[in-house]
Amino acid sequence: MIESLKKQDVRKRCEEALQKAKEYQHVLNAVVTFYDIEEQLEGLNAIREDAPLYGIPVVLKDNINTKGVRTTASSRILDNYIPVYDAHIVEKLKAAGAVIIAKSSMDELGMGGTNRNAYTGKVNNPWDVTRISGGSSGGSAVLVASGAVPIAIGTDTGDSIRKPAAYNGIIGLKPTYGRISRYGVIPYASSLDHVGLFAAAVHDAAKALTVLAGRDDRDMTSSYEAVADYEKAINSDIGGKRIAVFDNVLEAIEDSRILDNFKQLCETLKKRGAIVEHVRLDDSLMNALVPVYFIISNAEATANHSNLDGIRFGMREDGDTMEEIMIHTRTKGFSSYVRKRFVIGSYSLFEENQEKIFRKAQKVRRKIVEELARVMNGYDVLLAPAASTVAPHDEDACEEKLSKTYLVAENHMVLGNFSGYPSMSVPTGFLEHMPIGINMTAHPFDEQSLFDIGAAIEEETGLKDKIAEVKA
Amino acid sequence: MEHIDFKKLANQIMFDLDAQEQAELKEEFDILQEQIELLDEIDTSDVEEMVYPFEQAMAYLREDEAHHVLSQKEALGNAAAVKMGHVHVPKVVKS
Repeated sequence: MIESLKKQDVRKRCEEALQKAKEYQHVLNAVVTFYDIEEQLEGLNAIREDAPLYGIPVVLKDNINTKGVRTTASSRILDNYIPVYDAHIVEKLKAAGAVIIAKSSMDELGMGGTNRNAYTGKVNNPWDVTRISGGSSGGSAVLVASGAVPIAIGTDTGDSIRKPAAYNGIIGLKPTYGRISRYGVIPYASSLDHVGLFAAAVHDAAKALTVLAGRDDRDMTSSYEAVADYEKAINSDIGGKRIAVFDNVLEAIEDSRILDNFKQLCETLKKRGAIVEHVRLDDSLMNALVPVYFIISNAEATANHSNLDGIRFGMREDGDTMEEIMIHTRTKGFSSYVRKRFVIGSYSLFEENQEKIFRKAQKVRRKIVEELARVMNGYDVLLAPAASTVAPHDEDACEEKLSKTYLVAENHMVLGNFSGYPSMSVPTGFLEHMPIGINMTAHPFDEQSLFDIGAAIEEETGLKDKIAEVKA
Repeated sequence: MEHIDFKKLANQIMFDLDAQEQAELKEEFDILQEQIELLDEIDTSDVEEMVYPFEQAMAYLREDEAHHVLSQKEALGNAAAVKMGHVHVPKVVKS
């Protein structure tokens, strides 16, 4: 999509993107803040026209700090927060010529998988507006899926890019931990948080990763690993590629139509010369995915967000003492959902609980990652359906259950966050007019395998650049 | 699970919960308890905690040189109350 956009006039394509996002707003509710793009368009005079994203309109999730532009993380407590610096990736995008048109809605502070828990309300799926976008990067997902922009930035702590990508029929990439700097990104759970992106085509995703990736001294987890020209290197000849099919996930999916779509894809990949074999992880470790995630993410979140108190920044409520100000500010500033999770996180960090709950979860995390490494040994990627259903209706979307479908089929992608391995969702078809997709996980810093196999899948499905028609 | 005073827990991390939220949290703690039991089934003796995905060092001591410095105006720009170049809050030490 980027290359076809580049044939249009720069101003025209950026203004059209902004106009589309505005027209769709009452239908999708995807945007928190729209940009005035004039200054950025003028700024392009200082950028070479052959810059990779020259004059390409993009959207940022609203947890990416943007100097002088409101950044709320979809939380009331940050509703008036105007960052005084740009996140590292904002500097990179601007240097590459990208034009930011909007900040997109998300689950509050990244906590959630539905995008129902945003201060500005639920985000709607462009394929069927009665269904959820998925989250937490829901606003970014639907702005790509509706064709407003070719690239949108998201963040992914559990599956917050890859799940909404699958629900919206687009590419969702969570690269290797440390591949993209998180400097200037409002955190959720630091040992699991990744910055990534949405695109409507694999080539665009690869191009964007090359722009965004690379060492940043301001993020202590940022990697020194060399950055490739991923797009140029894409090779969809996947003969000899070794693909491991994730049997635990297939067994936990009830909808035979999703399984049929997946099996058909596997046959297609075999015909293209890939070696497709079946693997499985230990069941007790698979059942531990959600508990480990729930415990670690809530504990890290409560610690990370202790600085949101209304004193130095953010919405402040009145009080006669410092304590009263903080308590009133945080009670009103966070949703009920987030406050309850903070209590759970805090509880697991108490000295008397830490060994039994928090440290136990960290130990089980290591066992899970070692098991993942074991089953992926000798394979290029681990492949599974991304979700067990199409995007649910508002009332069907629920979390924190203990069923096998929920524990395994709906949450297996958190393996990419535990391990830091790169992981990408790719659309593979439609079910009752709603998109479905697969997820692939590769070895650390082997994003290229994801792009190569993703490009092969795209050639077979014909879903490259497929976007939803939104009736504004 | 033992009796937990959810309101007290919430107040310790500087916010409040109403009665309905406390009741909902009780249900969530019941699920947490079941989740902890799932973890208890896994033997983790001699297993080290995994704190970050990769354990190679990527952060080193840097030169003590100032960079990306904020002006006072910028640093105070988001504070709700500012007086004489400082964030203003109610008196902490009572007379």
